[in-house]
Amino acid sequence: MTLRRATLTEVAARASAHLERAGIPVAVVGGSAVTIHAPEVYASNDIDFAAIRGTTRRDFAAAVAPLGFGASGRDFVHPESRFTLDLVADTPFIDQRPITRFAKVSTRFGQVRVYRFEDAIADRVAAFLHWGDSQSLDVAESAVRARAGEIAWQPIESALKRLDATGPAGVERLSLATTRLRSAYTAPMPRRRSAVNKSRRR
Amino acid sequence: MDKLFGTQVRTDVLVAAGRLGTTYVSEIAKLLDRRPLEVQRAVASLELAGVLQTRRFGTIRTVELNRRFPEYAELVNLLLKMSERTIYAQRWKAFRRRPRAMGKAL
Repeated sequence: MTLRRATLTEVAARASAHLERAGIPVAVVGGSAVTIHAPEVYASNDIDFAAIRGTTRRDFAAAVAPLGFGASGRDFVHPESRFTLDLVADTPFIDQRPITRFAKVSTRFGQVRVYRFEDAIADRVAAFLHWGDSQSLDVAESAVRARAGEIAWQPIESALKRLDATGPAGVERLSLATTRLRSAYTAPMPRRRSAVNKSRRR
Repeated sequence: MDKLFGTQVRTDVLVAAGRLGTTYVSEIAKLLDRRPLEVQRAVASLELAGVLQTRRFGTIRTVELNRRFPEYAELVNLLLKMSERTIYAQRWKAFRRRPRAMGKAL
């Protein structure tokens, strides 16, 4: 099976399967997690993996090598795919909260663990809180708007409340972010099926 | 509203500082599409007024809202709200501020 036309989710699933076989369970985190949940609103080109039980870069490299990924700088690149792999963490954290529960998305290449939607959103909002990164807030807002017909607001609100707003202007930034996401949730785009729901229907 | 804080450039600089948190003159200038000297002058006058504070780290002088300003929380709220106005909102959209590891393509 070629990776030439594979989507980010499919490439992640293929790499996950290889890593799993090598005893390295992984989850997709960061911006690529948003891409998996809402590919139409954010197109990441790198897949950030967290090795949830820990690993070394050498073991990670050995596990993805049979798939054709080779090290290039800090990333792993494939000659047929525009998506790169990056090992970014062991246990993933959003602020001080370790993430131990994940969603599973099915593809023709198998399953891939990924941040739950609400955690993927909270992770983006954290970037706005701590670094003033408005792009991240825009992505979170667009993803919530795109999935509003399929998700509940409460888990998102809960995840947002657990963010660390103790930094400078943290409370004010979190308030702005929550207001924007809530508005996006209540004024959604026309309903579209997500990758998660598509896989469930198969 | 444009000259709420004295001049347009002072208002723009304050809104940018409120939106970005810790920043620096050349970043504000690039973001606002203004000359660094204009921004530098606005920062200096706002620092004198006690609204902004600056600190030197190596060769960079950082700029941020003065957290000891008595109405800091109210000011941040106002500036964040102003930063959502259409004239500003477009500026943040194309501006990446989250960290990027060394060696990774943008």
